Amino acid sequence: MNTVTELYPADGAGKLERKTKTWTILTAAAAVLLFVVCVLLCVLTNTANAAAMELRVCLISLLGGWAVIFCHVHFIRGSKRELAHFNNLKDEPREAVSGEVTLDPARVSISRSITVQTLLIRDGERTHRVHINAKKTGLLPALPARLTVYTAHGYAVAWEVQDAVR
Amino acid sequence: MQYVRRFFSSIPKYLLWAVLSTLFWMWIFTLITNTTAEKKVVLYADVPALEDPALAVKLEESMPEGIKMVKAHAFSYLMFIDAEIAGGDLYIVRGSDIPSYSENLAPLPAAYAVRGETVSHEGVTYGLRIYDAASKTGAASSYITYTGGDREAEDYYLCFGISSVHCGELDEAAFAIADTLLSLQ
Repeated sequence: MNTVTELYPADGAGKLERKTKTWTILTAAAAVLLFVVCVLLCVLTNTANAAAMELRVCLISLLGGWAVIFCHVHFIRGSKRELAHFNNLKDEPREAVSGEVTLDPARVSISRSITVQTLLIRDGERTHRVHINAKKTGLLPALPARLTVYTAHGYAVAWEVQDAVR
Repeated sequence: MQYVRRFFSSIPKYLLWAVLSTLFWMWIFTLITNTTAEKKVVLYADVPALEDPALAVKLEESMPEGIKMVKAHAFSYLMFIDAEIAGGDLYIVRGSDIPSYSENLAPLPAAYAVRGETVSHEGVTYGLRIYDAASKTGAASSYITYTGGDREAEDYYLCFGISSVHCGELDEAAFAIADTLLSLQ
C-alpha cells in the first residue's frame, strides 16, 4: 500500500509561526539596539568629536537599517506569506488527480504571496495543471512519475506514488 | 535567483532608508551641535585652512558663563548661505577684504585698538592685526593656516560682528573669546 506524503504536515503551521515570531523578535530587538546605540553616540557627542560621531551614527543607522530591511524582506515577510498560504489550504476539501506528473521549472511569484511552480499531470488525453509551492518541490519524488496528487484551491497539498514510469 | 530578484525589487526601500536615515540623523546632529545665538560665540575665518573643531575646543576651555559652545568655521562653510555670514560674533579677514565686509563689522572697541596694528576703512577702525605677513607670525597658528593656496601673503585682522549680542549688548563673551584667541600660539 502506498503512503500519502503531506506537503503541509499538521505541525507545519506551528513551526512556521515560531519561525516568523523568532525573526520578528530578533529583527525588532536589533532595530531597537541600533537606535539605542545611535542615541548613546549622540549623548557622547561634543565639539571635538561631532563630525566623527555624526559619520558613525549615520553609518550605523544606514547599515543597520539595511540589515533590518533585509531580514524583513527575506525572512519575516516570506515566513508570513508561507504561513498565510498554509492557513488558506489547511482543512480545505481535497481533490485527487492521477496521472504522469512532470514539473514545469518556471517559477512564478504571486504578488504578496508565495512563489509557485506548475505540476503538469497527464491523464490520457487530458492534462491538469496544478500549482505547487516552489519551496515544496524538494518533497516530490524523481519526476516524471505516476502519482496521485491531492489538491486544495488548485495547489498540490499531498501526493501518493501510483507506479513507476516505464 | 529568488533572493537576487527579491533584493532588486527592494532597492527602492534601501534607497529610501538611506535618504531618510541620513537626513534624520543630520537634523538630530544639527540640534545637538547648535544652539541659539545668545548661547554661542561664532568665529568665521576667511583663511585657507582652519582646524575648526580643535580651535573651537580650545576656545571653549575659556567659555564665559552663559555660553554653551564656541563655533569656528572657515568662510568656505558659508558658501551656500550668505545670510549666515552676518550672524558672526568674530571674524578673521584679510586687510584688503575689510571694505567688502565692513557692513557686517562693528567698529573695533578702544581697548583693542591700542593692542596692536589696526585696519581702518572710511575713517572707521574695524580690525586688530592677528597675522603679520612680513614676519609670518600670527595668533593661533597651530589651528589657523594664514597662507597657502593661490593667495598672496597678507595681513589678517580680527574683527567683531556688528550684529553680535556678545559685544556688550547681552554680555562680553566675544571679547573673552577674542582674548583667548589672541593668546593662542
